[in-house]
Amino acid sequence: MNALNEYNRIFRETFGVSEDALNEDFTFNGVAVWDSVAHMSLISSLEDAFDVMFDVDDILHYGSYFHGIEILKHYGVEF
Amino acid sequence: MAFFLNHGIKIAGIATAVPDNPVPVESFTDRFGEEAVKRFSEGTGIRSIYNALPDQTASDLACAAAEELFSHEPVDREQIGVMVFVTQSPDYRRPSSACILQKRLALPMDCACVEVELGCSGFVYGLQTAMSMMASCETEYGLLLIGETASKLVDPMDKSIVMMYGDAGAAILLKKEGKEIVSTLLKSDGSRYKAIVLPAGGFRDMNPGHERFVCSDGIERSLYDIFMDGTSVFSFSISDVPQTIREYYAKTGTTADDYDVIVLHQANQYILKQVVKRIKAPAEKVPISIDRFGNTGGISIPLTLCDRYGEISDAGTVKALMSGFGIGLSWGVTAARIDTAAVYPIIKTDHCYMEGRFEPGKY
Repeated sequence: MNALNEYNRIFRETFGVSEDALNEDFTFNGVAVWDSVAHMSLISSLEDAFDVMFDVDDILHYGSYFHGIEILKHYGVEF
Repeated sequence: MAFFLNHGIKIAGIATAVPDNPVPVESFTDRFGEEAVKRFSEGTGIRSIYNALPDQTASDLACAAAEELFSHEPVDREQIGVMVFVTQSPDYRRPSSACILQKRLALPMDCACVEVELGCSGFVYGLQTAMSMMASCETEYGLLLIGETASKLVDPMDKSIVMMYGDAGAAILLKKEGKEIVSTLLKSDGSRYKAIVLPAGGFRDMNPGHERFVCSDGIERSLYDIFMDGTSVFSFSISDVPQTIREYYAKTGTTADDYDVIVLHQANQYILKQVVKRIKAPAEKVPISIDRFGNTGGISIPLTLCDRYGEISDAGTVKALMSGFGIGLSWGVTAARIDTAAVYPIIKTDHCYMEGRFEPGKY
């Protein structure tokens, strides 16, 4: 599994956006459809796909597309 | 630690009621658009809820559940010495709806009736309150009633909540019998009271204006609408709740293996999935009813039991672990043996207590 491809797929499907939209502006505060329900859906899909269990602090601070990659690296996911 | 041991009191019957007004989530498509509704339904797992009718109150739903319970359980109402009604949607600001339910259910004057104002933790707290009262009194029977009509307190344009809250009522008969011990662990954290709040209408801010403003989640509300900080509630639900269940395991010397069924408050499917994973419970032991009833607050545990066992007759007695959690913040865990033959099918009701309406100048 290519981690970045999988990561992008989850973002595309969770938020209904194209890959072009996944950049530094794709943040919890900056994307209207990234609400609490979408956040739960994102976290759940990422945990399933990468077989990790996030700490609560990481769930709360999972605030952007790029920051999420850094969080996943801490759980041993190689991008 | 608020860890309680209740000796020789059992759950002797459970009945639940929903309003005869099903509301499929798709019916919100005109309001929020197909994509938003689809995303909500996929995210929360909710496909349908039941909303109270315009004149129907939480006590009406609890009353219907109680009458259904009495139709199956031949208990002499004169022998019920304790009644606890859990709701955050009382009929009046005063008096307590518990007293009105006492009259409507023809419970005796020798029955102590009390109201507990809690939401999603209401079943566990209500059960403990009723059992504690029964333990220090000579009564043989107690009655726990729970009712909620949270749908009436939601801004109709709040897509984060309006499709989520279902209304319902529950009645649980308690009886002094046997030597079983029901252990209960309760917790509260008032420092997080703003996580789920309806600011107006209480005595802190009784009559503010109805102006609408944009909240931190980008949704417009007035002070009279329920606000929920979804991300904070999510983190509470998947951290404090599993941790408390693990504490409960340690206090009682049990694990998930010791229970036949694990009934969690039906908050949403992601929270359920996360809690299940964190308490190492097999998913097949955790029944789900949120898809058809939504989040019914304190009723969701008895409603899920009725949904699971109400229509089947051969499940026998099960040992159930139950955890409710939510507004307050408030949460708890309990466990009990339940004879599933005394867990009845969910009924639908359109009953409204119209006698309870006051007409100006006529009282």
